[in-house]
Amino acid sequence: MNRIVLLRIASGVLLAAAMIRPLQAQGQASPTDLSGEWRRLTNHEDAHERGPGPDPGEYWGLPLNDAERMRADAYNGEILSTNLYFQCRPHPTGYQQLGPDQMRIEKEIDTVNRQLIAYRVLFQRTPGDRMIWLDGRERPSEHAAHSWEGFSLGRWDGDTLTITTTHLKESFIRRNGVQGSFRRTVTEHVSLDEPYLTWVLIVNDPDYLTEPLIRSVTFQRAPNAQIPVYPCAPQQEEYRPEDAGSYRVPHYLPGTNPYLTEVAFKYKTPLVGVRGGAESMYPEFVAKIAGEKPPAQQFTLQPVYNDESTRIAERIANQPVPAPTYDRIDALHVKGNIFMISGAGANIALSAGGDGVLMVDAGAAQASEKILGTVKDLTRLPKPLALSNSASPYADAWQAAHTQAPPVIRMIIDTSAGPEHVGGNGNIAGSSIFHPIGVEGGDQAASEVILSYENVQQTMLAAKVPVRAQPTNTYFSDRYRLHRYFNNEGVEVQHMANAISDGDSVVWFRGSDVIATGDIFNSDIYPPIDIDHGGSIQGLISALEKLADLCFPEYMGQGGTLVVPGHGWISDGSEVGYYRDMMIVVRDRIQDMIDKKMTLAQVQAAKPTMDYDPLFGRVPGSTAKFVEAVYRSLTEGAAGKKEK
Amino acid sequence: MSSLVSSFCPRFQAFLRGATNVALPLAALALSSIAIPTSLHAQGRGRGPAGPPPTAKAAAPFDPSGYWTSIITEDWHVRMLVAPKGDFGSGPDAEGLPFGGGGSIPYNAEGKKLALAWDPAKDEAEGNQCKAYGAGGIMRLPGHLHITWQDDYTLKMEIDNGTQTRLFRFRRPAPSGQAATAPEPAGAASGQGDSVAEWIILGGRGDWTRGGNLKVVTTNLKPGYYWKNGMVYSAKLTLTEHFRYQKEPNGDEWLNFSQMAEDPQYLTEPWIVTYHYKKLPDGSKWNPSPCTAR
Repeated sequence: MNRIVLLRIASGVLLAAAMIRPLQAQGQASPTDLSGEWRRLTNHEDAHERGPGPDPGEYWGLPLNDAERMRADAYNGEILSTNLYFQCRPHPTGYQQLGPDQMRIEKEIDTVNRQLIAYRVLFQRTPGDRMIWLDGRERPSEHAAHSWEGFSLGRWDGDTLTITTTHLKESFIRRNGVQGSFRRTVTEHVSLDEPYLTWVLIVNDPDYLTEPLIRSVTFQRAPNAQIPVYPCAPQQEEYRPEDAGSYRVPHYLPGTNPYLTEVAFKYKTPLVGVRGGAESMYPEFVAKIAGEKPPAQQFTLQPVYNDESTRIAERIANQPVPAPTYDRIDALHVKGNIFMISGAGANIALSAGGDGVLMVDAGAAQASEKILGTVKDLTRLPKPLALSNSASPYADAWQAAHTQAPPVIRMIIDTSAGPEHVGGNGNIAGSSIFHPIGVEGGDQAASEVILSYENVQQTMLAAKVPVRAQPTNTYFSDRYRLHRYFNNEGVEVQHMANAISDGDSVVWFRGSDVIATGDIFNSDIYPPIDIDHGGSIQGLISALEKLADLCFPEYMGQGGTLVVPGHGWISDGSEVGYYRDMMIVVRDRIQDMIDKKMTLAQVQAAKPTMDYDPLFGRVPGSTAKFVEAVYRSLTEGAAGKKEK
Repeated sequence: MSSLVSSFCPRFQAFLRGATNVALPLAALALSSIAIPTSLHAQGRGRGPAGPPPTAKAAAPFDPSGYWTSIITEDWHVRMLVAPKGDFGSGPDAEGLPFGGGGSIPYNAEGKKLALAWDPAKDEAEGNQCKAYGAGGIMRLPGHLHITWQDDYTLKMEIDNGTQTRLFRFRRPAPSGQAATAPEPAGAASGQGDSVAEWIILGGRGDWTRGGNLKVVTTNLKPGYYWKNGMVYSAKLTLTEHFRYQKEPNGDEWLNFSQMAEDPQYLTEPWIVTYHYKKLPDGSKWNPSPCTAR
């Protein structure tokens, strides 16, 4: 070997050493390279479930509780034809890898230091790109938006990438109506044994599972694979002409699903095995079902639900209600000009920009000081977000984009008369940073100071709320538009008749594409329908239908129009759609009981919301009140008390 | 080219000789700086004076010993029950259904034909009740594992369902200066075959924690069944398993492992599935039972 060749080799080795050592020294990056194209090993495991799909009532091997069982028993797959948010809904994290899609994993590189900061995982039916962050960032606030893919943090341990995912939307964990709650977390362990990638999925669901659910799937490298586009376009499909033009939720009332025993008959399996539960995962279960015979024919099952999950509402009803402390106030950017303050009573939506701050609801009175502090903090941001949208008082776009928002609050819009929503009206309007649009210090009627639907003012007058905390401006029609742009966008207030009460408003920020809903939509509690003040289940369902229709999803049933709920986290149209569907299911169940001449006490004892209670019934007493409100809505008049 | 350069430029030739003399030792040093820590990590030891390599037991990146229970959430009806003849995973009457009607196992025509010829009475008559309890099938059955170190180089996995034992043999160190020796074959083919084990270890630098998996390759198997309903494998089956340990924040300890079955006689492609076992606090669930053909 001549010397030049030797020198080249030596130089190459030195260069390689120089390059490799710093990478090693930087530790946690990507010890194993997972990037590339992957094909799932089709149907090597659970071919039936992962291919054509599971049968109705097939719960074997699932550690589900009775609430989950009841939820799945009620499921009718026809919902996929009527709920437009479901038609393009992708498989969620925790299930996605089990589907038939091929997968692509890309590296997300920090452009400055060239280190791997995330893996971007794509499937054909993934709405966006699922990010698995490896850069040690923090998990977002509990009030941040949920998504089908959730928020994932990854970490390498030896030869395994462990991923933990939170912020998931409610979605299925088996494609026959077995739901995963929005509180579930998913842990994944990903290991590469070239050319095979093993992906272990563990779903932890405090609401619907009694133990973690573990499953797995294997992928194989497929360098030449391409992920095709997936232009899913939802369309209302009705098979019955009489249903055209109206929204309905196909579901089975308890004890009426004729298909729950089909799987036991088809697979010649004892029914006790088909119904699942944690014990069905363990070897000891074999002895339990050894003496059981499969059903001789398919029949309509009359299930009994009675485990601990069915008693959540009673258990919580007996717990003391802690006094609110308002010590965890959280401000999050929603979209465009809009922020959300949570933890101060009901959620507050804020428009912050060059024109100042507009508040939708003022929170609880006791939280006003902290709310004002949070508003000041937001206006001290180096640059109000999306201030290209900010027009006045700065004439040109540059100033608008580079000038802090004035630390002033211009207006409050009340969505209802509830103390958690309007309790802070007086404190906020009386604060030193409140400078309304219009004639300050003059006749308040000449300014838009506190705006609400007329009946909210009437309710507050009747409750003898101090005058300074009452609405100064009211509207009577089905909508009210601010007379001018605020932070360079139109603000439209829509009245939702006879929903939570007789005075509900939602506020639509048309440029930012955000809707503040008040209590008409809550991401994790039942609606506090106030029958005595004009609320009704029928009005609420109509309001939710309007809201769901108003929302425009970004892609595959999520994102796009964002929603600031009365309580809970930043949401979108799909969550409004789920909430609407739940209201319809509960209404139908209670109507069926009323038709059978059941009294309110009998209806409450029958627990018609048992399957939803783990999700929404965690406020003491709220379940009983909700059931009563629905019952009274349906027995005291078609649309509750008429609005004045 | 070098001869061309040197013939025209003797000074450059001298420079080249000097540069090479310096660069080669530097390159060797650089190579050793990359390679030595990696091999040490692979041995499970830090930097220190040279000594005998650690035993397989000492080098283990996780401790697999203890009692474990199978958790069956997939292929449930063919694992928890004895599925009817001809049920390839999608039910007994699923043939021809799209998307999986053909079942889970990528059989060729010969494999499928034999699977359809399952006769448990014949197996019983011939004393072959344990055909579904060989290494190719037993990990799929509901049951418990009891894993212990038989010695520093042999991991013993006892299985109560069918009362079977698998032995995972690691290479033993040879006298100094000689290569490690491969485990001796056990002789004739058997239900559990011969399993050669090794640790695959990564990490141990910076905040990348040390860890890895136990790779086990099993051959020399007697023909048997993947599932009790006569899903056959041949004597040519090679099993490759990767066992991994995970501890979850809730305290659960898992032994998750993939199992790749390569059978050129009956399969059209490698068949890969993954199994999950959860750690038990003690042996109270241990329940040895005999093989059954049905």
